[in-house]
Amino acid sequence: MKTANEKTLLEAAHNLMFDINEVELEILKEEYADILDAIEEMKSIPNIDQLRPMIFPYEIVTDYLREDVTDNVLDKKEALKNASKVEDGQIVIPKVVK
Amino acid sequence: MDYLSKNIYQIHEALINKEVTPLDLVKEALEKIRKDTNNAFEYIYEKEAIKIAEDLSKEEVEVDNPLWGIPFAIKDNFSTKDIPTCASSKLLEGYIPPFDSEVYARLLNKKAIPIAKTTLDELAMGGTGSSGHKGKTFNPWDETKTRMIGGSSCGSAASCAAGIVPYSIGSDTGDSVRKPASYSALVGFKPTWGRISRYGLFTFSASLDHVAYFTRNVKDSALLLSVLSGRDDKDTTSSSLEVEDYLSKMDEKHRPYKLAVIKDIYDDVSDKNIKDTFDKMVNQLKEKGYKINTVSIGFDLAKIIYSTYYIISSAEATSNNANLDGIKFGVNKDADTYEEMLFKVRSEGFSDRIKRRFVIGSLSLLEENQQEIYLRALRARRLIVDTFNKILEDYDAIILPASPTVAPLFGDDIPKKSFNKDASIADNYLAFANLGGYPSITLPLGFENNLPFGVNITSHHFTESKLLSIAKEVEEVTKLKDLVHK
Amino acid sequence: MKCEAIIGLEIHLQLLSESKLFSGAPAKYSKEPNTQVAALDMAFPGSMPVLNKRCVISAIRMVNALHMELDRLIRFDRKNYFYSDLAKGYQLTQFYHPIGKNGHLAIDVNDKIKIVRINHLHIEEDAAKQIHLENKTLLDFNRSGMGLIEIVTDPDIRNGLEARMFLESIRSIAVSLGVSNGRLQEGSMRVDVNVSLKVDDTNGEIVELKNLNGFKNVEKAINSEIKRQKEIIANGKKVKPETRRYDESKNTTVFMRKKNTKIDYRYFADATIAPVRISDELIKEALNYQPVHRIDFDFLTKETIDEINDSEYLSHLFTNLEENDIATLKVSNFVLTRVRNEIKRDGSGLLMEIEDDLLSLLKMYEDDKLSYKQTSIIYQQLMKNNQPLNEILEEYNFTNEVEEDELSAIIDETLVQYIDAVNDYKNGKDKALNYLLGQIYKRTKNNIDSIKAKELLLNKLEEK
Repeated sequence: MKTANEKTLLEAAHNLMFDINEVELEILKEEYADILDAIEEMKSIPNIDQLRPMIFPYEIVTDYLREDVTDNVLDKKEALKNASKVEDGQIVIPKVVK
Repeated sequence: MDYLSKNIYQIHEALINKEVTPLDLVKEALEKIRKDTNNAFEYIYEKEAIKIAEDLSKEEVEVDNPLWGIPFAIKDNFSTKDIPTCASSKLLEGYIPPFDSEVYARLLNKKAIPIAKTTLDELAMGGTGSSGHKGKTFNPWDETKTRMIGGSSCGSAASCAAGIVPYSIGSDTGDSVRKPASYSALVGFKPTWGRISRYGLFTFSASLDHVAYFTRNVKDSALLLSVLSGRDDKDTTSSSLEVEDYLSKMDEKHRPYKLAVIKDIYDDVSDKNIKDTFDKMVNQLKEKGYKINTVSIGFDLAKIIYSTYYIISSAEATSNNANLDGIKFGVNKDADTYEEMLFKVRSEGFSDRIKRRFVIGSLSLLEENQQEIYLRALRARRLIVDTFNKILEDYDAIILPASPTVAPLFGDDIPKKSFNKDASIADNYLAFANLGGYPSITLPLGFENNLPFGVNITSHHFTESKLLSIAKEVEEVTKLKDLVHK
Repeated sequence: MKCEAIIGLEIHLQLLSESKLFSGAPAKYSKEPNTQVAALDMAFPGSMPVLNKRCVISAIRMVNALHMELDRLIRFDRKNYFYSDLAKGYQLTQFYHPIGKNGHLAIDVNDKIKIVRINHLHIEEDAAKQIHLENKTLLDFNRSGMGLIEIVTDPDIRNGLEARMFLESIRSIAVSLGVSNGRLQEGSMRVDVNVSLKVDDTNGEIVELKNLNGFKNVEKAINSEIKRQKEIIANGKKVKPETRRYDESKNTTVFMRKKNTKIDYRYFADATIAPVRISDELIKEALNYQPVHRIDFDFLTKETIDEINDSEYLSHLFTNLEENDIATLKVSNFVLTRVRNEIKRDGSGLLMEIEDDLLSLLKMYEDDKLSYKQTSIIYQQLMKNNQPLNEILEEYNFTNEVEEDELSAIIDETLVQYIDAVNDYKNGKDKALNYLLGQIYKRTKNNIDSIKAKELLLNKLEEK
């Protein structure tokens, strides 16, 4: 498990595509340490790791599938009106490096 | 005239009797909004609401539709076509959605009148009502403007509590409606997960998110449930179970109801006044024939409710908010490369608090950590839910103080850390109803120095009729309803 | 030293459907940018995914065809990463619970049967299209959210030929099941290849081959990559893990990039989509599903084929032509000039009603029993009066009007009158034959069996 060091935390922030300042990093370090302590509390409960992870609040299964028809299509103007820069009906972003 | 301080049925009656018109109501609401000092609003429907009201004035009042012509407010994390929606996030300032959320569409369909989009904690993540881009939302019950109303549905709570709208829509992922309700003498109701479609609600944590709302009494809550609940094919997690006639079923009594008080949570409440008021209410219910027992879930389990909630919600949130890149919508930034742009948009668009939460969530999902953190929280979730399921099989409902205190002060009382391992159990337990998806309702219980505090009742999946029936009896016992701070 | 190539394939197939995998936007290509999108495809907040039945049916058909175990509960996971073409910031895929597992496909390689094991098959969504220009990138979200299936083989393939045979087989299954049109050139089928060398019992580093745009190229790329890796080892060096593409002109693979330091995609279960149970009924429906046939004739342009496939009636009609063995250029031209206008003007309602007669008519035209003009006239009558074909044929009496004796006489006359043409023909000018036939048509007002006429004419010319 990753320990609560600055490098780990900064790397995680950068992977989420944002920066985090030094003051915040200190608080984050404490929070992550608290999370790891909380994990210890969970681990101390007998047999907890024998349980299946619970994704939904109750068992939920459906038979429903959408029929293959077109529906709720946005017109181009609606689709693009919130984009900051549009050229020839396409959204323009700065050059992608990767 | 002050009609909007009344409850939905009273206003409806006034409309039928032609004492008031939808336009009068809209004007009253706009006037109150102008004078409001609680910082509860993101967008105000000045022109739009008047236009709707004028159109309605040409029609007959729909006598069997109590929502007709009455203004409501809705949290700004519900998508509203052509109406700015930013979820109180700097990053989303100026965003104009291209579609309506299901809940909003249903209310418009009932000819209810939207009057305002309300403030929230940034992207609904937080419980103080202070982390949105417009800052603190205040509690109308505190004239000194030093206390929170709680979050994340702070603006919806404040607008209902201040007598501006008789009901307002919020969302509840941890306790975001039920906790503010406790601090503002309102009824705050979150039905079963899946009972109301979440289509158009900005996803924070899909496995925990619920549509919820504030009213001033239990009957109004039942009315809204009958309008808002039911299957929506646009949200495949919405339930196909039949929508009941909650209003009439609520009055069917199946006494004696059996209620459980969870010892490990109750014991964590230290405020004597709150405890005494709660005990008094319990005794009054017993006199009515209720069987009320104390049940223990164990301190260790009570302790991990909050951390389990925090880890799961943060993990989901980090992924659900990855769409916020300023490209398709939201605030864009100039940069030479895509990567640089994305970095600027997200660094400047999110508050520090929320960034930390995203980092925590992301760390818990790393391959190296997932078994230890995220999956362990999901296992803890099963343990917690299994435990509560069992209690709810034996009892009709769980009843507890909704909060261990009245509305806290802003300022130094807000801890820097968003997660604290020593956080109070009684202050954070309400999330158990999100982990298990149970219907859960908060209603006024008492006052301390003129500040309200509430009681919470939670029942088993899809037993809303029973829950509302119990809530209504509690309301009769406390005699606290239709409360507005003027 | 024993040296063996170990090859595995990852194949993406674009699913044929009217709408996208999770949204109601049309799943159509080559349309104006950003006109085929729903809120979800651009990740507008609050939009939610709803799974498309047709895509599930296609996946079940493919799982069945590849002898795989079907997971009866459809669940999706999120693959989290930031990239400009990924609207939501995560891709919905099936990482933990693929819909199909543990299958196989038998292929025929040089008359020997080879079994290739298939590890899994899963459903996932496509990303937006980007155009990278010098200083900027353009985004078109039409492709965002289109349905894909990914088929991942076990590393059972040993050379380029086997890979090609496998891919051709997968393509033909996918096309015949109506799952995908499987065109490598257009990207509706995409193949990534993993190649490594096993020397004695030691596995080598894996090289990934990408951007392969044809089955032949896959074969050549693999063979040249095996050769390259063998040379490296023969020189006592080590193969590096990297991604390479194929340079056709040099018949060699070319370095693209180093293998990324492993990205942690933080896969976890999605909770916005309710898990879907695959009922017995759905399986039955899937296996009995009659896909709308996608036509593909080499004598028509790609644009025309797309237009036909985009039209429900035209694709239906062309499927019928194919079944009746009259899907020829000649008949196609008639349909595309005469029938297409009809649809544009009046829709396909009437055409559906007279379908059998229309097919009989087109068959007569194809068999030269009717000329273009005659066919047009009868077609017009069919459309106008909704009268049975045999009645119209009787009325117009186009066929057999000119009896054989009469025809013979007319031919004789023609040969006398156009003696110059007859001489030209005898001197080897084949064109003269058509000229003579034309004159015969004229005299009979087209009311003859053209095959018979030609036969008779040739006989008579021989006699002369």
